Amino acid sequence: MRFLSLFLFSFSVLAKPLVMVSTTNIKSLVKEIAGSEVKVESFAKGTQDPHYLEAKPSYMIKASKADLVISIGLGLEEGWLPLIIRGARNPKIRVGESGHLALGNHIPVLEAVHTEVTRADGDVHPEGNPHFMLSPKMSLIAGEKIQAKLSELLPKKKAVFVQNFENYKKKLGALELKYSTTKLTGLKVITYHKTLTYLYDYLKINNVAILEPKPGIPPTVSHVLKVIKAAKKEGVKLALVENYFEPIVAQRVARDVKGINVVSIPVAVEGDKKIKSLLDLYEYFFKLFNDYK
Amino acid sequence: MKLLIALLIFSNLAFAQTYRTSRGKSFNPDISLNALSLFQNSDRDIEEDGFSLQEVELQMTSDVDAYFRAVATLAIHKAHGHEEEEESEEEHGYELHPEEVFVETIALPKYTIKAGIFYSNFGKYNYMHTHALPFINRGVLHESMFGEQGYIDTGVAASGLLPVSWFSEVTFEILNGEAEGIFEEDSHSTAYTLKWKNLWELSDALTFEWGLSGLNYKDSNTDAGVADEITTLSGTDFTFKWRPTAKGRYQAFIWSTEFIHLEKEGSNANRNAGYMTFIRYQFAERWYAQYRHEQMGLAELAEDAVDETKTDAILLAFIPSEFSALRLQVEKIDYELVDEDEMRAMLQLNISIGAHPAHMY
Repeated sequence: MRFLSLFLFSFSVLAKPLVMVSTTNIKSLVKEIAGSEVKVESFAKGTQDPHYLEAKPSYMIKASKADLVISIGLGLEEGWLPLIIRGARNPKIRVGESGHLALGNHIPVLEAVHTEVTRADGDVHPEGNPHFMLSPKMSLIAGEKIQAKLSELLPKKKAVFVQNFENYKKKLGALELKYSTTKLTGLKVITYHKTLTYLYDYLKINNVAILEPKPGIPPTVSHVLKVIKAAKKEGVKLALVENYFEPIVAQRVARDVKGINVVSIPVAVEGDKKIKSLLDLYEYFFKLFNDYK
Repeated sequence: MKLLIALLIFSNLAFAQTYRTSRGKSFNPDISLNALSLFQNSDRDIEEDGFSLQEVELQMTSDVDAYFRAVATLAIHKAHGHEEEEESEEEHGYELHPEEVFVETIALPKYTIKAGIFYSNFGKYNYMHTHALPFINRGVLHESMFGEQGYIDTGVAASGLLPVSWFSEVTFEILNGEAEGIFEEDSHSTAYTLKWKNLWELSDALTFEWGLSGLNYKDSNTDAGVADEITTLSGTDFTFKWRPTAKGRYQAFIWSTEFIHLEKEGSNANRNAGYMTFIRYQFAERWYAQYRHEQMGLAELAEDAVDETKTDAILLAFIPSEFSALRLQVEKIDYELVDEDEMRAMLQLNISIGAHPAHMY
């Protein structure tokens, strides 16, 4: 018995804290800031839509061992994370406890709805658009919160986290300079779902139309015709489809709109084999937009 | 003294703060309503034929405080005529009853304790509310073991995860043993259930679940020479679920099977066993096709004294959104003792409004 408790004790001293996060984008940012000081895993894979993840009991096992959970919030994980946290029977990671950081609460959100909203409006998030991790600017705000939370978890490593975050900022700055991101203003695109809102807002890209008539509602014929009309009028060159959706509808648009290119895009780290970090993902977008500038 | 005053002022401020925010709507429970509208037609011209409101479930959930969470589900459905009453064409109207009203712990590490009225965790599908069932009806296996509404009882449950690398959960329930039609009722009876649920992730897309369940009901008889009423149920279930990690919204597959064995000693001695197996294939973004086969009569006490019903059902579901579903089920029921099979068609509209909590995997 004493041997067992000794063994467990030494194990817990040696083991790194486990941070469970809801998306691979958060995972990448945690890795940038924490380096190898913590173990970090994401519930959603890069190719999965974090909105519709299934609450697999195997996630509960991971959450039961977690020291910290970092979620997007804003209703994105509503369909599965509450079940995981309850099933994990790990009270410290409950929403509102110190072991749970919901990043969305700290972000200046876009598209928050202040008027009356019903489910007839589709899958709206009245709290605001939850896809803020796709904006480099928002990653800095999220990063600040992650750095503070990790420092709370491992106070002795605070200097390391602060330094790592500074390095991340530098790398991001260099990337933006390399692709002269300030010169993308006014580029016209159409998108399947409102996933890139924050990135467009940051780069001042003009999203002419969304292929979904309402969030979460598959395109209808009449709506697609409207999109085609708008795309023709505006001379859109780029139609982006998040890679968890089929690109068929966008290809239909491309048949009618001359010069438009349909690109199936990853919207999360590991959403494509080549995208291994958040910086890779930002670079992918900067490069893509530069090609169609 | 200074400290005391400061504390008093501080606590007063804190109180004022809580008072103000608690007046907002944010502390109201999440309220949702599920309504199941049904059209049914059987070639037997049974009483349930035609349009009907299959069931309405009104659910409220909320954290009670820092220690408890409460769930209340009130169900409204057609009143069932009691067997003793004479068969009549009269409508029985609707009845409202508490389907589940329970409180469970949220602040205990490692364990969850639950108390109140709730669906027993026996087996794979008994705990499911009618709107969440894979088919429109519970099916002959569950109906013959637990009745049309499933096994709901009053009691206490404790559950926890075993310290192993895969998901392994044990639930133990102590219940009153008050379920109409299932047990020979008595106020001194008790039912115990034990459930062991395991789940392995075979790959990122595929999971395998395996469960073992047991139930023991005993009503000791004090009268000399009268045997105790004992009911023992044992069951096992396995489920494969597949959903690809890429483009998972367009395709998925489930194969699930449940086996239940029943043994009754006492005034109504009986033995039976049966299984239910079904597959579900999602072939497009909003479409599912399903097939279910059930077979009863796998165990018997005496020859020819056992229910050997067989059923086959196909189901096509159109699911416009998370909040609505239109399902068509055609079922062939082969009652062993009756010559002709019954054919039954059911069309169900299943809607959910309000803030409904997420469903289990």
